[in-house]
Amino acid sequence: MKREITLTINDEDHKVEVENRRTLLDVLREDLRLLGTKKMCDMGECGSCTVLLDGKAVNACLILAVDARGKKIETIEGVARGGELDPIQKSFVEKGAVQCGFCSPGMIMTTKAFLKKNPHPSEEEAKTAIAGNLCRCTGYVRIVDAILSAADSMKE
Amino acid sequence: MKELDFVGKDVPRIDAEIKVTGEAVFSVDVTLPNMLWGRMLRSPLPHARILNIDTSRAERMPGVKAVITGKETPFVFGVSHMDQTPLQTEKVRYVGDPVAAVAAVDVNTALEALERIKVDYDPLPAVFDPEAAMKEGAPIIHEGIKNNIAANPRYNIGDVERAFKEADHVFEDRFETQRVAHVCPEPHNCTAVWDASGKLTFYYCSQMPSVSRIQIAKALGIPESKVRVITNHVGGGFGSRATSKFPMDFAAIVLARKSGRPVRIEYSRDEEFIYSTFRHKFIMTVKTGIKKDGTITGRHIINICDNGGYCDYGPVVTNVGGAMQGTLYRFMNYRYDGYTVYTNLPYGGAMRGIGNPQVHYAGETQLNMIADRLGMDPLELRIKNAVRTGDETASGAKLKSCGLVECLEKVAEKIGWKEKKANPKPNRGLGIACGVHFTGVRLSPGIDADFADFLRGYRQRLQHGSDANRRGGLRDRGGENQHDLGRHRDLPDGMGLPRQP
Repeated sequence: MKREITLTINDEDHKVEVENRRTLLDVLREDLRLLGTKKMCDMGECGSCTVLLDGKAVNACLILAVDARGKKIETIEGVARGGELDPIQKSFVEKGAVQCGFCSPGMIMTTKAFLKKNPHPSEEEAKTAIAGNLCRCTGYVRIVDAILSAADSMKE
Repeated sequence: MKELDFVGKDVPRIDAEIKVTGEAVFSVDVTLPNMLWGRMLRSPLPHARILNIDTSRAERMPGVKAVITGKETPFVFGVSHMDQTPLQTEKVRYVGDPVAAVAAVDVNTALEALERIKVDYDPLPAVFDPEAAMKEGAPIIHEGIKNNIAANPRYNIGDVERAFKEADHVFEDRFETQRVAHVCPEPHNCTAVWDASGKLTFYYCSQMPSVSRIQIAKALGIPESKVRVITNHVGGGFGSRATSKFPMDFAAIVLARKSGRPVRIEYSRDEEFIYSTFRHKFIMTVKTGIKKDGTITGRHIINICDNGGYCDYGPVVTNVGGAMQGTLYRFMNYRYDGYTVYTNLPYGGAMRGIGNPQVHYAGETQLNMIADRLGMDPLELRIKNAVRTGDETASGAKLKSCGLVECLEKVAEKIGWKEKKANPKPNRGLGIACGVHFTGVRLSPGIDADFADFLRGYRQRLQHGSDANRRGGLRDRGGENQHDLGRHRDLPDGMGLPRQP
């Protein structure tokens, strides 16, 4: 059975008709064409579909779209504002933390929530923060560098 | 030496900005108006005759726009052996061998339709172990292929038996590796669409779109000019994109033609793990002759490759491992017997190093075991036998430059090999191994049979003396090692040209 719901994504309201069983990830990608959020495993293992729900990093594949009603949803499309990259995005570019790029949106969303909570993390804390995000190319070293460097640049 | 613009410099990836904003379009993001979702019905049995396929109930389902079986995909394809058809009509050879496909308005409808297809099978004895598959009386997986041996790549240089007689010690050890999945972040996927003029546009996450194009045109029997393959950004490859996943490709292409609408098929993560042509399992017997002073006199490797139900890159993979083992050390008596053996398991393909890592693992591990047995230093043993500039190796490579010895010496110094070896610590390992791989060389007839096509379509031209427009037959998928994206470290460098996507 379908029902009409309103999702607040990147400060915009979107009315969508969804079946109860559909995940937030599928509705973002298939109905709203917000394709920056990636589907890698679709079972909550890889973190590539990470979005922020009221500021908290969650796997969009484990959230039903109907349960995201009334919450503030942030996706990768809302991170760069007015053509300007976010300091985290800049840092990922500069530190070579991007290779194939499929995990990058999820990594950046996780980092965004993490640095808000912990603006001066240690390397160990940064590693723990992205423990739920899988990358197959980089070996993570440059991603951790990018997170720490983003934290530094946001301090200034 | 002239200062270059990019080589040796730390420059950001050319596509990094669009990847951090989520703008980069991957194949799996391609969605066309009116697009249908396709799924394949896979065999539940490892080896069975197909008696009948009844698709009528699926065809009647609302939302189902096309259903096909192997009768509509009579294309034979393969990489080295033309041993595969997209959807099976006579028999299935592994659990998962596709037999039918549907296109529907959404994924759930497609999945429900698959459940309504009735296939009658007559089970056949199956074999899962390549050594058992080679024995007399084993089930025959492909008619006419004796003992299930699809290929038998061999090298026989010098006189390995004499080398063993001349040796002070001869060691024989057995090594087994296991299947490894590529686990590409972006699942394999494709989208096919035909236009009214009979032209096919095919979106596919390929490492080599030009090869896909050639193979699709050939199989469909239409000119290459009627096939357009578009590869967007690729979410990892690791070798698995070195071939198209043909059953999926042809299923999408034929479903699109039959329904008159674009059709997308993408692998689930489960399918990705099982059917995306993993690294082959090798069973290797390594026999090495060595003198008291550590000189290796010769080596004989028997390698049994668990090919799975079809060849794909199997024979190439079996060959590469053999070719490269005759390249690292100076012995000139070398024999390699490779067997690419069909089994009733999902089939393997190319994966990072294309068969080379498995054989290196066996060869190098045995060298360490030999050093241990003879009380030799594994580092010294390698330096003694390492190939040097000017050598011609057992597998025929002429080494115009080679820094293996210098590399070993430097590594030993940097890691404190001697000190660490003299003072072993509990729970801390210390080991050393060497490896060699090729970069675009011709190894032997057969190996590069389809490598020649890699660069087809590669061209570059200068425009107005200030810009370079290059088109490659290869596609970057994260490693920056290809021609058309990333750092553009080759041709434009030194010409004062800007980098461009």
